[in-house]
Amino acid sequence: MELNVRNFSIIAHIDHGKSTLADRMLEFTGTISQRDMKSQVLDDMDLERERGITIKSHPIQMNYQHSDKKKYVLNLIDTPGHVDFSYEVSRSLAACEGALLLVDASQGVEAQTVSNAYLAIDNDLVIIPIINKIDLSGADIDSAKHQLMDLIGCEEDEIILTSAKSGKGLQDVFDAIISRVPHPNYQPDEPFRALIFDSMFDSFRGVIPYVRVMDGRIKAGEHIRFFASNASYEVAEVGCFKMGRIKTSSLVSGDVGYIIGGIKDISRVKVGDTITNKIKPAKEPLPGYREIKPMVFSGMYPVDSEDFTDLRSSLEKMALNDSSLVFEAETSNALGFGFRCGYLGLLHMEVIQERLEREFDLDLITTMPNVRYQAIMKNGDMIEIHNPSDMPPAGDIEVVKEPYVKAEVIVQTDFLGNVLKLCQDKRGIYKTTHYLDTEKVQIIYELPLGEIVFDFYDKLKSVSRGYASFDYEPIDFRPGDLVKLDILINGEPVDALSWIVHRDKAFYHGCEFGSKLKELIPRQLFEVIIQAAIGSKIIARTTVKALRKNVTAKCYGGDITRKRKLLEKQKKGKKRMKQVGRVEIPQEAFLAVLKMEH
Amino acid sequence: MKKFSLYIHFPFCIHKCHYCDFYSVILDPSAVDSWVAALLTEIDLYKARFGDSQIETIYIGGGSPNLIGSKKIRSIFASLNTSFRLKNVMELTVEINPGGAKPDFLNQLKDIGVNRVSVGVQSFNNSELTTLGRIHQVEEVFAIFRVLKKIGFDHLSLDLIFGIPGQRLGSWERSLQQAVEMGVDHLSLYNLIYEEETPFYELKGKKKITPADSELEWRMYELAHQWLESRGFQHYEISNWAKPGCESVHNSSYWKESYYLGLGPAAHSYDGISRWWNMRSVDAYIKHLSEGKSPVEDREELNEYDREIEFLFLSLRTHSGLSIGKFENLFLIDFKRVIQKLAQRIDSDEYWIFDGDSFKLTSAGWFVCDSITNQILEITEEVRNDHKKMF
Repeated sequence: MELNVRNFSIIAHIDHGKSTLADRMLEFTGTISQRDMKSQVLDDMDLERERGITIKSHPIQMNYQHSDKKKYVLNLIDTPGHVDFSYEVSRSLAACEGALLLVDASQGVEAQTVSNAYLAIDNDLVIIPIINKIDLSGADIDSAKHQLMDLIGCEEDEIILTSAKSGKGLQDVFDAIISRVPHPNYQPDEPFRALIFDSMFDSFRGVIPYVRVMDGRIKAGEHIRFFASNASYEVAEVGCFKMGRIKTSSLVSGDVGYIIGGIKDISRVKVGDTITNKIKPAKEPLPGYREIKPMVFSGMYPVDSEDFTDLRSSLEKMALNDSSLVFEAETSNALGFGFRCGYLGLLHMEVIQERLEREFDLDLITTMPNVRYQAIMKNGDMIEIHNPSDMPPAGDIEVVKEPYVKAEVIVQTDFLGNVLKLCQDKRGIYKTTHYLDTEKVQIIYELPLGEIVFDFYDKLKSVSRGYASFDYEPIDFRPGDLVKLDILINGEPVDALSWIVHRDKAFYHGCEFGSKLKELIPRQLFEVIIQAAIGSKIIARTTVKALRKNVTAKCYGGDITRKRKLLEKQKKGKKRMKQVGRVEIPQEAFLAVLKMEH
Repeated sequence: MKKFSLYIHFPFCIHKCHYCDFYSVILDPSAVDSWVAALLTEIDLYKARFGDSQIETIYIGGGSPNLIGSKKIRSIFASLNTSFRLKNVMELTVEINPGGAKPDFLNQLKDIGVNRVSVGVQSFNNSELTTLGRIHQVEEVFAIFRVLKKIGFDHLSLDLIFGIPGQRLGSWERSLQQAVEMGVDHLSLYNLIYEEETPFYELKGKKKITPADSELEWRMYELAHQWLESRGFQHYEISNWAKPGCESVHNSSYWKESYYLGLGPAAHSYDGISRWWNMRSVDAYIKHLSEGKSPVEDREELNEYDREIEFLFLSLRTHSGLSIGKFENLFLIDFKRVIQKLAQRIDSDEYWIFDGDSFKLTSAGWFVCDSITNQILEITEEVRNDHKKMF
């Protein structure tokens, strides 16, 4: 029965070998033949493969015959591998009974390993510690072992040593999954409850939730209801996952699978929500559901304003597969019609933007990202601010609150000083330091998220020569001395360049932003004056001198064709510029803040 | 073609200058013989088509046409005479390089009827000449001009380059002064361009030479504009200055969209309908003609839009500017509206003069004329779109 089912995840830091281990397990169980194996089957978006990260999770079922001659069903639920998606990770883990905690033998424990290990512990998962890449020359198995033992409090002999690449230690992994991960709690007669841990969109069958059935059973023809969204559907098909969807007669307590119910609206299918039977509903949903809210916002505008409707339909398509992407139309004086998009974090933002440009062939202007602010007005009202240009006049505001996160950095002790200084510069509040061993230290800070969305990652990498790893979780909103920094070009404020900053840094940022823009805005046929202002006070000023020369004079020998083509080429280059007032501003200027040296 | 200009490209040099991207190869006497033979065949090929038309100007450029040799230049002219009507040629120019031009050859040019010689001086400063990779020094320039004046050509012109790495404003002014003292009635002043596939382009890429600051280049251009104007030279085209009546008729044919036939490797032609050009290879040029085949590499038929761009940028190069009436008639656009919008975008009176009938660039305008041309093209599109929306 369901006693031979094992549901598990793999948690690991980027590049520690999660996808390779998954690939080997699929081969080992004959789920996929070696011949059909593209490296890293589970990451099927190009972008994911290029970046070596998993954004969307893909469950997969393997049939495995153990040495005890019994046949087992192993459901591997892959987890998104990035800090922006910690809630999704926690829901995927909640669908499992066990987790493989994979650590690179030469890298040791990283921030993501720690935060995801804690998520697994919070969800009462059995953790199987694995040290991977043991045959690499830089492997330091002893220190990885100590870090793991310190992190999850395991015994040395519980740790499995593998090389996912060569397949070494793979049998030990299977043995541990069978012997250590408990079978699901089998409760087929309870009212039906299934946890949604992901979903996908199929243009023929609608939104398809991926579920772990906790209690009861479900089959086609029955009616289901979603607790959080309160929507009801008739089940058209249920099934499990191999390399694709495999239709089955029913799903029962302990199973991992999908439910098709002709669901058109993705907003009804929320990760973490519970599905129950409409006729015989469960009394309560499964615990842990949270309404997810975007953390980071930015404006998205077509370079060519005629592409607005294309952008809308592309965003709609994108959102069908990604319920965490939200967007609403907005208008900018400078950029015209576009959208304010909300993302879970910076990586999520970059991925969405790249996919839009790549898959839908759109030329986009993206404005600087900002976090969600809360303005508490003098009359007691609270206004949520998703766009700096929506900031009410300073005189009407009692206080502005900004989101804080609990940030965890793991770094070699050599760089501890640098990292502390960086966190301090980013207005961080020091919490604790914990030495993982003599060489690695974990630092906990509370940081304003607004400081992180600019260049915290890049800075962190550079002050630690690439060694530091970083993870965060949102905690709360706190008052901050925040002001709106405006940029004026030839005297006109450009709304798309406004920015909310801490007052202490406003002058410095204003100067630097001005000089960055000066670099990026090409010389025009007139002088361009760039000013930074807070309210009506100008705090910095710089100018782009008028263009003196743009001429290719020679046409000797009568080669007019070449000259004409040259002009046409120049004209095309101009298409990537946005005309703001009389000034032509290149696309990248709107993201200039991210490239500043602050 | 009723009337046309003829260009002959001699693609050989003793040495290739560091900045030059004109098509030329190192001189090889046997290749010159084959080039002459191929040229005579090409002249013959065009005889049927252009034999009845009047040639108004002839220009022999290169390369270094002073290396053609006296006998060969005579046979080229003999062939031209049998194939085309030369009796109304008003301007016959030969380009020469001060390094390697022989008095004997120059005398020969006079005999043939050459009435204009254009000398590739480039600079009156020896270290600048070295930087450029020229084979001559200033002393040879003086010597050549003594010879040219003694022979008594009607018109003399010379070329100078500004914006040479290391060149200062003072040195530029001295070059201008010397140029005028040579007694020329025409000057072509070119701003150095770093063309791809030239040694200069690579040196610039490797940061081994520092290009002149564009502000300095602008001051050099403006200096030439003012200084030469005060000495009786009219700035009649973006890079050309002449005493009244001494403008180059041949060069003007390019920007007035008159018809021209180009012979020799890489030469360009235009017959009012299409543009075509020969292969950019002496060997291929010779091979094709020796087999009786056309050396034309490609041609393009101009569409309405191409014509409009060409008309615009070519007329903006000239002193007389763009004739509003002509442009409006040819391309059906309210050009006054375009200018009005342009003035809204560029709030400045230093770039152009608009007198109601014509739109002319000033010297400041010429130095940014690609930007202005692009602005006008963009606005033209806008005005047309507005017009469409109205109806």
